Amino acid sequence: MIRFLARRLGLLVLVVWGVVTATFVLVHATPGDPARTTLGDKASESAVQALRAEWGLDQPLTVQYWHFLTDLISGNLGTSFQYRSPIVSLLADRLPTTLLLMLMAVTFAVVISLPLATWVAVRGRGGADIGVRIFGAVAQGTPAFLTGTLLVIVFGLKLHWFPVGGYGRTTAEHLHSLVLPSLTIALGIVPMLVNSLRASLTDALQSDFVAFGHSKGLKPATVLAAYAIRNGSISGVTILGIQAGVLAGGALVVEKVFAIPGMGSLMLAGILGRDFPVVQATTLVFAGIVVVVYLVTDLSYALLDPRARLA
Amino acid sequence: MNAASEEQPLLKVEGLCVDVTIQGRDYAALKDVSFTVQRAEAHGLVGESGSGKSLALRSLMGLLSANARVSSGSAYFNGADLFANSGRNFRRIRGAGISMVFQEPAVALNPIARVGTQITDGIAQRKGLSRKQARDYAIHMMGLVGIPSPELRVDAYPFQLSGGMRQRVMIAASVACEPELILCDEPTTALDVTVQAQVLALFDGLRAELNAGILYVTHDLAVVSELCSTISVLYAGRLVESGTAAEVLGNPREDYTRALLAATPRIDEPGQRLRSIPGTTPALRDRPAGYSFAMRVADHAPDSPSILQEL
Repeated sequence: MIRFLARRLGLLVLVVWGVVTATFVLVHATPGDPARTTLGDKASESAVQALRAEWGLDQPLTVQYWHFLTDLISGNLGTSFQYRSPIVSLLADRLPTTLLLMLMAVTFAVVISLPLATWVAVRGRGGADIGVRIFGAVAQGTPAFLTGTLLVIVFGLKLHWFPVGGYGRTTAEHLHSLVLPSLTIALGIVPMLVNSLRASLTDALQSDFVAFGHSKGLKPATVLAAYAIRNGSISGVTILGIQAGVLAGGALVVEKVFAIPGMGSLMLAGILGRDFPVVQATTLVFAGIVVVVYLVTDLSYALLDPRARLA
Repeated sequence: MNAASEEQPLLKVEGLCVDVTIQGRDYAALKDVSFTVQRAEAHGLVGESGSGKSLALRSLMGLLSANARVSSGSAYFNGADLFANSGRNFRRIRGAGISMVFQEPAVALNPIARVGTQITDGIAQRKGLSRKQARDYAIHMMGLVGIPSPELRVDAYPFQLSGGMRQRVMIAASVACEPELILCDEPTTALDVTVQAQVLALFDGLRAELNAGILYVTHDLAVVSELCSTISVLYAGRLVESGTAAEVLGNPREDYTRALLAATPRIDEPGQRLRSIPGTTPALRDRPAGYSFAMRVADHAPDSPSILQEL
């Protein structure tokens, strides 16, 4: 277990290094000068050059990369060009929002998928199965910005159940305003999760161990929960883990659509304003989240399946 | 036990017909099968693969798969028809009335539940045992079926035990509620010969101690002759011959029974090549109406004379 964790942490460092390096190259290769963007078209060339010097953008790329890496290792993510404040404090504001959004999205995805998949698996082929398949195809094919917009129109503008955008001030308001955004992300994950769960639950329901459970005279609900669903849901954890990237990408789009002050909107603002340090830092954090989700997936797999834990 | 229930047989199956639906067409997999199991008696249901013997067992447990159903016939357990009341009687009877030992414990035990839990979950739910009581009872049952140092194995998972131990766990689980009738679906096929002998001795002991009836499904006449006092021979879904073990094995009336006997390896004829019955039982959809063993003999007699000429 210790060796497993050590290996995974080593891998994490490697992945994060790869991601930050790629990001560094990409932001510097993108056309557009941060100093010019910040000062505007009317600023004098000398003022722009002075700002470039202040931000260290006049130095050779290799030197900039070296400074960036050494700062990163010492925990210094730099200072935002546009906000003029240390990025660490920007992240401290925004990371919890995005984490809450992703957590709620995963919760919604599971709460929707598991009963749906169980229902379809128990019913077998027929109307329910076809209905869920069609719903899945439509949900899978609809991009997050459209799903989000539709949810806003129905539950925000027409029914007034949830706010149209923003984040509120209190925790209750936060949770309330994150319902539609997290539902939007969840609907992107649900189809794949339902498909995988349906298949594994159908297998489990036809298995001898479920028949054996029934043969012992257990209540059908007990057999379904303790025998079929416990076995059938293991594959769902893997699918959920694989979707971590979709989750992060979803947060990016959805925060923009719903005007939520999270990591995604910070990153987009960074890209549009040529705010290199912000883009680099937010990418780093998103990469970290994805890698940690993969790690948690593997660990929970071991938790759910004694064969993975003990064999 | 009252006098009336002493008089009637433990299980009386009359005219059992099971239909299987394959690609929208119904095929008769079991036709007019009747037999009786008395208390403290082991009845052997003998036949090749495809003879319908496992289907018969599953129908008596109400565990037929979705594409199979009992089309006519009745099965009286202690005088009450199991198939009446559209199968709702099964739940009450499973476990304490009738229990089942499956063919392969490797797939019939829940892979992610501890063996102790699987032995007692049925009786714990029925009698409301505490966790501690259930665990103690599991250890007791494991000792009863000859699992050495059960207190060390009660918390093991199935994959941590050998095939023989797993089958003992399965047997412990199926007799935990002290059933009146134990259905055995070739429970020794996955075991090596020495373990097989131990398991058979175990069944014989349980039959005597619990006064339980055993319905033992197998293709192995050696097993039947060791355990069973009465036998029914199935071929292609129909009853070919039945009677006491001595009658059927000592003086078979039907060609098929003779062929099965001739195909049983004998220890008193060492060096003899293994003999088999030519061909196989045809698949359900390839079976002409009124299919009989004579038709198979006619199909295969010219090129494979060995067994068939001896008949």
